Amino acid sequence: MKIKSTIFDKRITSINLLIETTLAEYFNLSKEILDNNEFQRRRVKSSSTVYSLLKSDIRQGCVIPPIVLALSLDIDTHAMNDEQLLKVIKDNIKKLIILDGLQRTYTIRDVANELLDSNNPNLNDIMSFPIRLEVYLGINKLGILYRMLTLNTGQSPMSIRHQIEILYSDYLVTGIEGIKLLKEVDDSAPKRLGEYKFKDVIDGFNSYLDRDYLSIDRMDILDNIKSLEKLSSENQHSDLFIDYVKSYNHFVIKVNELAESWEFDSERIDHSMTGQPFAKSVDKIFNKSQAMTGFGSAVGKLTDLKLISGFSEIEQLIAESLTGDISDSLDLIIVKLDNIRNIAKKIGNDQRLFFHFFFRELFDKKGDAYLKFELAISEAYRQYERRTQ
Amino acid sequence: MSVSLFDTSASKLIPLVIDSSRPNDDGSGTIFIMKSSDGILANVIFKPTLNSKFSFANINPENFEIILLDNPYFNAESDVFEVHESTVNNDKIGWIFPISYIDSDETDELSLKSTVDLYKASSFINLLKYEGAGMKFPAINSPQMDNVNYNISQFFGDNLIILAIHKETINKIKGFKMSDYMLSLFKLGYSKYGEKSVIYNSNKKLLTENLKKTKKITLSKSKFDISKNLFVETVFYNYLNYTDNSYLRFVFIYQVIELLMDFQKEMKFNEYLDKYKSGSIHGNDFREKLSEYSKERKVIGQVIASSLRKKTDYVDFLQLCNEYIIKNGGQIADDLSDSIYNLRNLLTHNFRRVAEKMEELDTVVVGLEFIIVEMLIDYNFSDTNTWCYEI
Repeated sequence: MKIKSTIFDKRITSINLLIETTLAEYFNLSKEILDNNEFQRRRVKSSSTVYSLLKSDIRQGCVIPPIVLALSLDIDTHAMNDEQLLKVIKDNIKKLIILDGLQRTYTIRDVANELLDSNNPNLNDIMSFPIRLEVYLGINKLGILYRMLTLNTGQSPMSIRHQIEILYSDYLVTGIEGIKLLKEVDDSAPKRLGEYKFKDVIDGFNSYLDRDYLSIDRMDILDNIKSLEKLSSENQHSDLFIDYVKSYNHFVIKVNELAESWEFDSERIDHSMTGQPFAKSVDKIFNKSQAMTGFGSAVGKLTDLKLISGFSEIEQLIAESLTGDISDSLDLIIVKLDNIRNIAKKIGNDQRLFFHFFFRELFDKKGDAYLKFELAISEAYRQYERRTQ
Repeated sequence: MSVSLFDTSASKLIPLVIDSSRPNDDGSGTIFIMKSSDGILANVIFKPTLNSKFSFANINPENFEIILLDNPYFNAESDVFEVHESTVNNDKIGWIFPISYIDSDETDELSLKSTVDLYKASSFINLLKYEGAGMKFPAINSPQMDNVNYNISQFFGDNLIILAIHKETINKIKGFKMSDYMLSLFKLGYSKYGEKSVIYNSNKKLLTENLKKTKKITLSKSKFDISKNLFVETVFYNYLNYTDNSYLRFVFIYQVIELLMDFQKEMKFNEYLDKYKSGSIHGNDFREKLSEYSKERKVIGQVIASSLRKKTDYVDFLQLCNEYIIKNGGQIADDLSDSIYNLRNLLTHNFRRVAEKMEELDTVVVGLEFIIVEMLIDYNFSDTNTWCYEI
């Protein structure tokens, strides 16, 4: 592996290294990347004719366009020489992400595996063909997302949701300050405060980025890019994803404290439930995707309207201003969600809408329900009815 | 048969067929990969309800038939109803649900008690295989965005309602035809997909309260086959779709009563003619009977007697209709047929009295529509009177 060129990308404040290596070296590198990032593993089905042509071209030594990788590290690369830069990459292979060239990577791997399986005598010659890599080193996650989107234009597009999954998948392993993110496998439902499904957190963060409680994958790359541009100024000094997760978790912890061991009991309320309650405990209400997307979209909207400055202000409000016994309010939330289940054209979407209105009312300093839990619930339901019925 | 997608860039219908299927990443559902001849792919995801152990290996969609409906009153995701049929000991013949129910993976206690998932999954497959003109389809990008799964409602629109029936069960019903049950569905606001609900209800609550509690629909075979009478069929499928105006709807729907009155008069005429010819009655009696049956008020009474089984079911309408008529200068009626005839007279001869207060007429006309549909379902109608099916 040799660095052939180093350029500083001023748009996303990261260095871009042009590296020349061999197919063999990239084959070994890519195995680590794909093994360590399950979200990156999906392969797009493409025309068998084109695919065969590319494989044949690789065997003949065609020049493959540079594959673009990113390594998100909090690191100062200013004074590093080439050897030190390569060492950083080699020491952090597991954290590498493929920004552009996933399908080419699969094709290279297929060629290598076919040559190995058939004991092809040309294996060493072919695998020593050169290949170029571009590595963005040290950039923040939104910068990576921006780069991914611009690089992917015109090709088989990845949804922004998928890209966010790739970017933040390392938090599945490390967690975020004691907050545990769980993968989507059997028996991995959140069981206690501070545990959330990774997929649901992604939904919520996506809703924050989109300012939209419906996490629909948008097809228009330009729309996605414009959203990111708007957000890039917010993301200068902190990682928005971490801010989102932490502030949401603080909200849930605070509500749990104020709830004083609340548990839903249908006998206590003056309402005939039409089915199972949405949840029976605080953590089960708020560890659901519907609440997280409502929170994300509401905070996003309030930020755009300059009613709050961002997640830091939310944290402050939660810590200092959310007070009082909210047991009755929690009963009310379950009743309202039961009503919604009965009348909603799409239950999940309408629940998201309700939570969006709830968080907006709770944190809107110009509203009557500002920091008033019960009033925020009633007002949210009123707005929900007005919007949908 | 295939689902079609509308590609706005190409402005053409793209037929798709099921190419393959696989579990989704977290095992919570199954992704069906739809493919076109141009190689365009679309993933459509199905998720069973959370509390059921489910496998498509156990599903044979051929065992189920789907009928596509519309209903502006029962299109909430939770408007999932068992469907029973009155002639097979009220056995369940299927389920009726909105398309959003198929998309949903919300915890659903229904599936704990029944095999609704079988119907849901079979409907999903049958929809994927369904080719129909006039459906709404999403525009998709080509190439397919990686990792994006469509919901089936994106192909058919949010308003679609599916009646899924079990073929083996309906085969127990002699001569089963869905068209025989459309009137029964009309009463609940259901109509053929893409058409407006036949029964217009300005007060949704009146229609929905009971059904949302019982969660069960019982279909009754209509004794009057509207598909065999072009005029009645046109009233329901055509004229009533033109307008929400209560007065116009009254004019259209009352024509059905007029038609039934003609049937009644014709039947009675033939009955008395036969008696006269056989000598059972004399000429004067014959003339008197004819004269009696020329009075509309009497004939309506006979129509009601021939059709509606339990007149006590219509006490509310009688009260409503009387209140409306009295308020507008008319007289109180003692029974249902009189109240309908009084209403007819008020609207025909004194419309000017009510013209400024049309909204008061809405509920009355809705009630009347229900009653007329009931009359057609239960009409004591002789099968030998085939002339009733002439235009």
